[in-house]
Amino acid sequence: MSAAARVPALAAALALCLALFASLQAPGLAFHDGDQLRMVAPAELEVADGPLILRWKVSDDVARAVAQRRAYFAVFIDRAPIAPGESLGALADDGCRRTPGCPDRAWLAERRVLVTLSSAVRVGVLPDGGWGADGRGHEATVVLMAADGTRWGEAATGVRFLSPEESA
Amino acid sequence: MTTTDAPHAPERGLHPSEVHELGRRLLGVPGEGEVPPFALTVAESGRRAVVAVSAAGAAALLLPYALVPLAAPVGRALGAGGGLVRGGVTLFLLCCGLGALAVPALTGARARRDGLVLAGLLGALVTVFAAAFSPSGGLLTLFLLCAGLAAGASAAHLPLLFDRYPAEIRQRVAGTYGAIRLAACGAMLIVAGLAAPGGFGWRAVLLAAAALAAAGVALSRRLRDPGVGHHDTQRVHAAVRAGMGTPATDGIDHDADAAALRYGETMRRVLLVPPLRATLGAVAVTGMFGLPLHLYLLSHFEERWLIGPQARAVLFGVILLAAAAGVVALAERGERTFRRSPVRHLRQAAGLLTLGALALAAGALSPWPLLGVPLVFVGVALTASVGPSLAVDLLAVVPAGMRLHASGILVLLWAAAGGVGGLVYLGGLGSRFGTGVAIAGLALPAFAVATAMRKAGPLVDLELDRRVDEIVEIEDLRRVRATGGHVPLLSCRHLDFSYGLLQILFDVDFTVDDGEMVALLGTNGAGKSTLLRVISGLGLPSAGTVRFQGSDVTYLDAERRVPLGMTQVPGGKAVFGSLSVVDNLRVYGHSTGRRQAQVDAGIDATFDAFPRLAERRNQLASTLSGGEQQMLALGKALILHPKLLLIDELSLGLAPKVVGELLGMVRRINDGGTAVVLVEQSVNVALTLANHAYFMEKGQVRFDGPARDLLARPELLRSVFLQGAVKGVQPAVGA
Repeated sequence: MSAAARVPALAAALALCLALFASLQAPGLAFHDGDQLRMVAPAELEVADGPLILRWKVSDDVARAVAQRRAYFAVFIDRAPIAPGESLGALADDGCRRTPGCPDRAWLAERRVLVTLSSAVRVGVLPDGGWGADGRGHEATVVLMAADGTRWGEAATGVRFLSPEESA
Repeated sequence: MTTTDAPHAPERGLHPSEVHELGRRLLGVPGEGEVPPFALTVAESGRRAVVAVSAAGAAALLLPYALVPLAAPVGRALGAGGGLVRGGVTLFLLCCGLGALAVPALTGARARRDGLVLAGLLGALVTVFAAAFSPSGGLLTLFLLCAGLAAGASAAHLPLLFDRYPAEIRQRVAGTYGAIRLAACGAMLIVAGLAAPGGFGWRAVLLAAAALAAAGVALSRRLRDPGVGHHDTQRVHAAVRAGMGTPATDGIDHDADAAALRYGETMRRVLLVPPLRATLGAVAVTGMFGLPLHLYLLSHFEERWLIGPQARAVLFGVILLAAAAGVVALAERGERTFRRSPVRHLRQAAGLLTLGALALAAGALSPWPLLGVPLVFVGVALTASVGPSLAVDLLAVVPAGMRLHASGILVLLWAAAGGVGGLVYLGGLGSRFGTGVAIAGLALPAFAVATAMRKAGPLVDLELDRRVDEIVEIEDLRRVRATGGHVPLLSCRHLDFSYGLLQILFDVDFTVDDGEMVALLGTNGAGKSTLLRVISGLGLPSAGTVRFQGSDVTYLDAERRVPLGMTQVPGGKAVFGSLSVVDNLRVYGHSTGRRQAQVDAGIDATFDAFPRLAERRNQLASTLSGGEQQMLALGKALILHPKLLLIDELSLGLAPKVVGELLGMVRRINDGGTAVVLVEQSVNVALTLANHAYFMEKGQVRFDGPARDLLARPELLRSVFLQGAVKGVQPAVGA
C-alpha cells in the first residue's frame, strides 16, 4: 500500500478496533427487528384527533417478561429515550435526587415520560412545540425497561403523529 | 497505444495560431466536430477504472445515505434524538472537506491517486462496518466523522479519471461518475426503506452498505494511476515538441526540486486561477443541492405530503435512480457544448442550475404529491448535473499537476462550505417557514451564482489559451537548453498584477541577463516597485510567468527565492529597526541557513565596505541615518552573494555624497558577478550605472533597450522629473 493510502487506512483500522472493542462492552446489538415491540396506534403521521391512546404489540418473550414483572415499558413523548443500559434515574435533576423515592411515576409523567406495564397508554395533553414548522408534529418512543430500572437492550418502537390544527 | 493516445504530431514549424488550435483540441476544446462514441472510447482505455472510481465515490457517501432515512430508529435504539444523525451528517460533511484538503499533501508531486482511491474505499468500508456495531450515539458520530475524513479522498477521483480517459469524453466520464454516485445513494435509500418491512434493523442496513463498499474495494484493487496529464498536457507537450522539432523526453517538464511548488504555494496558485476564483461560490452552492437538499426533501415528503418513513425513503431512492439517468443524458449534451465553447458550456450549466432550482421550488411548494414529486425529480436531475459540468470546466483550466489540489478545494467548498452551509441555511428557513419554503429558498443562492457562472465563461476560454502558452514556453525553454542556447537569468513574461480590483501591471515582459546592471525607470505609480515585488515573490501575479535561470518561480514563496539567489532591498524599509546593526546582518545570513563562519565573513565584509556601520554595530538600526540604513540594507548583498539583486529607490531622500558612496558599492557588487536591477525615479542616478534600461508607464513597459537609447526618446522622458534630469545625464554604456 502506498504512503498516501496508509494514513486513512490506519485511521480506519483504529476506528474499527474502537468499534469492536466498544461493541464487546454492549452486547445485544439488534441487527434484526425481531418484533419485540411494534407500534399499532396511532398510525405513522396520523392526525391524533381526540384523546390519544398509544398502543403497541409485543413479542411473546416480552409479554412473558412483563407478566412476570421482570420488565415494563417507558414511553417518551417528544423527547429522546434513554440509552440502552441507562436508568430512568439519569433523567433526575438535583432537586429530584435529594427527594427520597424520586423519580417516581408522577415526576416522570410531568417530564413526558410515562411508565406502564400495559401495552397501551393514554396521553393527556400533548406538549407544545413538536416537530415541523407549525409545531403540530409529535413523536412517541416506547422502550423496554428491566425491573432494576435500566433500559433493556435496544428494543424500541416509535411513531410520529400530528395533533389537530386547532390545538397547535 | 490507443487512437486517442496519438499525439497528432504536427509538421515542423507550426504557426503560433496553429499551435494554439492544436493545443485547445488536445485539451478537449476543438471548437467543432462530433463527440466520439462514449462506450467505444471508454472501452479503449478500460472500463474498469471509471466503474471502480465511481464505486469509490459512491462508497464515500454510503454511511450518511444509509443513516439519513433511518434517523428515527437509530435515535430510538441508541437513546438519542433524531438530531443525532443530522449532527453526524454535518460533521461528516465538514470532515470530508478537511480530508479533501489533506489529500494533495499526502501524495505530493507523485502520481499516487490510485492509492488514495483505495484508501478512501477502505476508510468507507471500515467506518460503515464499525458504525454497524456502534453501541452508542457518541461512537456513531465518531464513525461518521472518520467516514467524512475518508470521503475526503474523493478529491482524487475526478483528476484520476481525467488522466485515465481522453479529453474528448471528459464530460461524459464526469457525468457517469456523478450518476453512479447518485444511483448508489438512491439504492441505499431503497434498501433502508425496505429494511423495516423486511424485519431488518438499521444495523443490518449498515452491514449491507459495508458489503457494497467491499465490492468497491475489490473493483479498485488493480486501479493504476496513468500519470499526471496523460491524456491532455502530455499530448500537448508532445505535439508542441514535434512542431518545434526538439527531441522527445519523458513528458511534462518538471521544474528543479528547488523551485518546485510546495503544498501551500500550489494551493495559493490554484486559487489564483481566474475562473476558479470566479466560481468558488457556485461550487459551494452546488454542494447545497447535494446531501443537504436530499435530507430536507426526505423531511419534506413527511411534513408536507405526510408520506411515511419507509415509503419516502423508497420514493426518494427511486427519484435519485431516475435522476442518475438524467445526469448521464445531460452529460452528452454538455460534452458537445464544451467541445464547441467552454463559454457556452458554463452558460448551459448556469441555465441547468436555474431551471433545476425553479423546478425544486415549484415542487416543494406544491400541495399535491402527484405534481410535486415529478417536479422534484426534474429539479434533482438538473441540479445534480451541474456539479460534473462545473468540475470539467474548472479542472480543465488548472495545470495538470495541480488538479488534485484544485479538486481538494472544490470538495472542501462542496462539502464543508456548501454542505454544512446548506444544512444551516435550510435548517434556519425550515424551522421558521417549513421545509417547503426552505427548499424553495435554495433558488436564491442558485440565481446568484448562476450569474457568476455565466460571467466566468470567457475566463475559462482565456485560461485554456494560457495553459497552451505555458506549455509552448516550457518547450521553447527546453529547445533552447537542448541546443545549448542562452537562458536569461531572469525572465518575466506577460505579467499582470492587481491589488484587488485595481490592475497595476499589464502584460509586462522583463528580462535580466547574468551580471547585467538594469535600470528600471518610470513615473510615480508606474508599477516599478510592484514589478520588483512580483519578481521577489512579495506579490503574486494574476497572469504571466517569472522564470529564474529557467525555473518557473512565479508562485514560489518569497523566502524560497532567496536561497535560489534572488534578493531584494526594499525601498525605504529594508532594515529591522528594533534590531541592532550587527543583528540585522546576522538575520540576513541566517535567513538562508548559512553557516556561522560564512555569516561572520559577510558581516566583516560589510563593515569593511562601510566603516560607519562598524562604528555603530551595536546601535539600533532605527537610530541610523537614511544613508546608513541603505548601507546596512546593501550589506545583505555582501552576505548572501545573490545572483540577482533587486534594489528599490536606493537614492530617495539622500544627500548626493551618500548616494555616490552607495552607488560605488552597487557597482562593486555588480562587478562581483551579481546582476542588479535598480529601480529609480532619478534617471541621473540610474543611467550613470546601468547599460540596459526599462521605462514603465501606467503599468506597461514603454521602453526596453540600451540605456543611452532611452535618452533619445524624449516622448518617454516627458515627465517633469525626468526632463529636468536628462540634461546632465551620461549613460554608463559608452560613457
